[in-house]
Amino acid sequence: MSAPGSLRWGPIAGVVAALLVVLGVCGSLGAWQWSVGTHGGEPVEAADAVPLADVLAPASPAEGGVGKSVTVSGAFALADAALVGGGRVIDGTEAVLVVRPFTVAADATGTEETATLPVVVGWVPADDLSRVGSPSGATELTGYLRGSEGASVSTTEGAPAGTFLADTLSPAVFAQHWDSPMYSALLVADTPEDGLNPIPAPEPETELNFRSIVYAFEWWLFGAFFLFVAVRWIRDNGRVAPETADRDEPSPDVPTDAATASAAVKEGSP
Amino acid sequence: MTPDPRPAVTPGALTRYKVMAIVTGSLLILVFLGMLRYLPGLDSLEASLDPTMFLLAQIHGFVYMVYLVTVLQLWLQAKWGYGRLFTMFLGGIIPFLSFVIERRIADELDPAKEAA
Repeated sequence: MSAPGSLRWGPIAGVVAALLVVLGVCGSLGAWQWSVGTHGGEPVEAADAVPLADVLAPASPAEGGVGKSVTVSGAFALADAALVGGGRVIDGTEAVLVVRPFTVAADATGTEETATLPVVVGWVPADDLSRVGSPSGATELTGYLRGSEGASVSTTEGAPAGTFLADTLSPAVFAQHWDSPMYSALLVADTPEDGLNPIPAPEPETELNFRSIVYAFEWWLFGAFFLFVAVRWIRDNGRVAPETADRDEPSPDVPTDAATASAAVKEGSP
Repeated sequence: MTPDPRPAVTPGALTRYKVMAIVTGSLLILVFLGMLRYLPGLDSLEASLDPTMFLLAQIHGFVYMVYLVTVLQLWLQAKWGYGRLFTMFLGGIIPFLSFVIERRIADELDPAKEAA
């Protein structure tokens, strides 16, 4: 029924359907990586801050809560502040993070009892520890949750009055100085304490961005590859072929308009 | 008029394909070796291996894209079937496959060129 040169709708529809599926998969995976890459894997925006109790309970693993922007109510406890050094460098300066215990109000923990949340309130240069003052009277904090680091030893030796020294941001270490129960993650306060430097945005995010954007482009390139092959296939096989194969087609770049292609084959076939 | 039964494959396209097949295949083997650390009992290697593996996987991603371009060019010139294209496509994903195909394609094309 099909004369040479007429369109083979069945196979074309099949290839187009398969292509659409592949393009959909590659396109959406690329778009997803792109959004991860450009918005950051961990949303750190005060705009969508949620109450702490929604994402993290005291004394339980932080898993999903890390990176979330949260609000919390309570008051800073009067216990010693942690000065966490460990050789970290911020803006080219050896820095010491200042972490204070924040007693989360009983109605804000989700467990009906108060709990202690370690709050990173800012940093000071390692040679200027005297800048650490006393806690603010804030009762509402906003910030993002960051995961704990490994355990280390803490000491009050050599620490300014009202503080102790540690090498890592570890609630397990802070628990030796502060009231239990403790949260297993830390809050990085959006607003630094008076006299302290603000904590810069977390470092790993830039790496994550780069990787995700690269993956996005790779997915789209994959899609383009399949698009090319499908177009090629339809061009080659989309019409009912004459008896002989057109192997002497001069170059793949020559447009194979159906009429000229079939005519050329009829004349040039062996 | 008798058409040349062996379509024109330019030496450049063949060379580019061969080089990329070997580079992609070698990188892929390295990436797969790196994945062995996910086996139970090898967790301790995570910290030392992960940064390198991350870099290698990134490089493999880019190299694979270049490999696909060389594959397309050679495939277009040689006018192979779609099965062959698919096998060449898989060559950058399945370890050692690219070496096998590269060998076969080289064997197939080289004598033909001498005969032509």
